[in-house]
Amino acid sequence: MLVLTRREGEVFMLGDDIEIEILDIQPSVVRIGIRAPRSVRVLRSELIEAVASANREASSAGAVATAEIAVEARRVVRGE
Amino acid sequence: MNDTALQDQATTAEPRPEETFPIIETPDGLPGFVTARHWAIERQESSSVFGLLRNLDQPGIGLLVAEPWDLAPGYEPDLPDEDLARIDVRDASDVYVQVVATIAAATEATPGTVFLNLAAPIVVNTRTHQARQVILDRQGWPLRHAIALKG
Repeated sequence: MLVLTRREGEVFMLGDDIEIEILDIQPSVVRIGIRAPRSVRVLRSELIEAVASANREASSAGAVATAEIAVEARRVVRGE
Repeated sequence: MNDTALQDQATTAEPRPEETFPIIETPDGLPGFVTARHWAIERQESSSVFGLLRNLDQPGIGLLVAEPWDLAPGYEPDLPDEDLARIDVRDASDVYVQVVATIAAATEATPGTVFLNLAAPIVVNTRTHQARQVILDRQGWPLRHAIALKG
């Protein structure tokens, strides 16, 4: 991993069109500004991991199920 | 390369979901299943709200999915253009949205409660049959939305 030391207000570039600015530094929090083309997706890693983990849990419950579970789910939700 | 897995399945004797349900491809996999590429949504009836999104490459991977609109009234995901571009969506009419559903087990606090993942809808391009799970950041849709029971 490339490690850079930057001060508050300093900027660095990723490639030609992604600009990262260090906006504010506090003891345990850094605010970072990202200027990037719309085609670049910026997501917090913990959010991706939360979705991945939710998918894995849903699959361990759902993989053994057949389409009958869908009927059951529909029945439950509709209160039939 | 995943064609091999599909061909292997096609040589088995049992009826396969791909015979009755269109194959959906996820070019980038799904979070948690990044190598899973081919899926089919199995439904009891074509009008079923719930279906089983079954992976065709790896047996044992499957997600219960649901049509969100009636179950979560007011759900209005804002799907980023860059995510839609990844599956070649050119027109809003190409888009078909499903969300992952889970049912609380008997051991959980509220057994039988159905939860929907509104934070990461699965978006299918009905024209190309490509799909992508879109992670919606800063839109406030919950990862586990409990469905209020009717009646």
